[in-house]
Amino acid sequence: MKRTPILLVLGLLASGALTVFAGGCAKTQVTRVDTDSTIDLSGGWNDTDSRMVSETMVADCLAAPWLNRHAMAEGKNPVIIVGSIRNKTSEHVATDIFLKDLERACVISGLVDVVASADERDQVRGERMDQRVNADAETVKQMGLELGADYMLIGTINEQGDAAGGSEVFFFSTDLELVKIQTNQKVWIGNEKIKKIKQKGKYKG
Amino acid sequence: MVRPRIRSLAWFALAALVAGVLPLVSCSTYADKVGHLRTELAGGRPAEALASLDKLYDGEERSLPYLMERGLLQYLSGDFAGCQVSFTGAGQLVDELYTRSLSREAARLLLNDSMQAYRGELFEQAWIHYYRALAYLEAGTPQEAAVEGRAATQTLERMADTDNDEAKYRNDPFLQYVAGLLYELDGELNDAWINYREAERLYQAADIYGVSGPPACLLRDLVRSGERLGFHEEVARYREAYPAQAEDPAALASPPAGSGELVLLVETGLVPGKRSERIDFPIFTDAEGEDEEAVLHIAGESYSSWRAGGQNMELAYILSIALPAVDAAPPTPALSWIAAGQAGTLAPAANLGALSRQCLEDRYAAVVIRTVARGLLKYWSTKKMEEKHGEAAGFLTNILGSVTEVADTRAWSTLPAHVAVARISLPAGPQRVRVQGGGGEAEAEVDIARGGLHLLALRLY
Repeated sequence: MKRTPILLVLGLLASGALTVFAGGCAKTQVTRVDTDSTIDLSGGWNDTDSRMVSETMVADCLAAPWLNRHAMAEGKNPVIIVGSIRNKTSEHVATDIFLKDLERACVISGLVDVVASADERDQVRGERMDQRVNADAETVKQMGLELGADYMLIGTINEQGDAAGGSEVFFFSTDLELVKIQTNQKVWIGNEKIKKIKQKGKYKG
Repeated sequence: MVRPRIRSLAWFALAALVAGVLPLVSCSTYADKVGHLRTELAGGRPAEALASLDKLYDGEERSLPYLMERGLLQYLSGDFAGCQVSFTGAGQLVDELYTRSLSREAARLLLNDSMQAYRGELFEQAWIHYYRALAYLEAGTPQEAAVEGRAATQTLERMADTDNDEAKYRNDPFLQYVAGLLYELDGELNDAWINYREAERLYQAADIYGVSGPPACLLRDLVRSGERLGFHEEVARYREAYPAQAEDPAALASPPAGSGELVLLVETGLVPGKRSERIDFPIFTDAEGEDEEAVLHIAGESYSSWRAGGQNMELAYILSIALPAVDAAPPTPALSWIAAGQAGTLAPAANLGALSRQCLEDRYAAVVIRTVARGLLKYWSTKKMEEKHGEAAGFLTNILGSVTEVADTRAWSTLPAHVAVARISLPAGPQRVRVQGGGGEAEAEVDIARGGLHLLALRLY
């Protein structure tokens, strides 16, 4: 071990300097992609999870026996309101997007009617009040004719993560329940799970 | 005919390196760089400190120290949305930097430790969640604050999985306690109980966390929540272990009707910064390595001999190296609160100077070995250049080696030195709360809801 690594020293010094220069030259690039495409970057809950879970769970909900029972008893589509979805994960899940995905899947099915949420109702009621003052009398919409919901969809998103070294497992479990507003009866309970694994290398070039 | 040409090329390469590398390597440390903004913050001017920081980092915004400092200064300046953007960036960067750049790793071994992107000390990574939670509370979104509580708990769980098995800082009693409080705020008492229990266990290790024991309010929270959840055996154990605190009937009584509870988190001082410390390091072998592995091996052997006191070893030569060091934390100040005609004291809950020292100590052996290896390479290069190309070449190589040798003092320097805590009952309605001690004071108004639990964080200047 007598040979001094001068070339190694100089070479690495140069590579160090180049690295610093190269770092300063990195450019940001933006590419448009299909909104339905699946892109997993961090492993966390994302738009694809929201869309897939809502579509799968609404399909499961509408295939359950409660829908037929309601149709037989009432002779018309049930009216649903999407309530709150409680985020019990360690990520800032945009529950509003998930709620909209659920509403959209329900509306598109044509098997149920969906009414506006509490916040949205306030906005619409404000509009009706405004119409009474400002709109043509023949076009004014009347108060007190709102459609009352028969069922409320509520739920939670839970997470159980695990990590070791550079590997990380993401496990999300979404529970949805459909509650009959008149009787508090749970007419459907659904669960959808998502599991992903993320692996990070210790070194890169 | 060829030799003079090679020699002139070597000279050219060396001169180019000196000229090219020197401007890239700042002789000043991170501590020097942020000194004035720490002074501004200590003087109670976080907005000015934020402006100084932005000027300092113009063009290199994707660096972890910048994002952490910025997030905290934005929070202290009342920009809660901006603070979340900075801290989100910081969190993503911590995740990305798990994967180390090989070329930067090589530069780190040859120039100095600052060549590798800063990943943050473990405690700094975990404390990002604390400030995000506080910012969400300030913004009126306690559910999102609870999400940060869960994220903090998860980060702490993952810390136990650090590569360094001998690391002592692998959890954090204060963050466990705060996560518990956030769960309680969110109505998840069972989850809160688990975190309170973990915090109490961790607070026993005073040597690691620099706090002499669990704050009295944590013990009362444990007993109170344990009783509500029906964990009578465990509650009895805590009562036995802490008779003075846990049996205080006034503290254990439910808040009076028509009142609510307020948890005060009060920050004081500035976390001791890292500084560069020059030490003379003895090398007990005159062997020279020919590759990275051999050099690190010699450095490792030298480190072991140094730790053992170098007895019965023959000294070959002495290397002058620069290592990071953290000063001792300032003493914990005595703090008191006044509100609604009542007064009380706050209990020490976190000592960030101790956390900083512990985290550095946990990786100190690796830092020393790498620094010694780098010193050896630089020393041998100087010697060989001198032998082959004369004194002037050796001199230039020596300059190159010396000016590039700076200890890595990067840190989250705007963190406080201490955090103290108290949980108090106050009549419902708007209440003015005043906290003082340690040469500083702060006042805030809180609207106490009947039967509600509130969390108020203040920083004293």
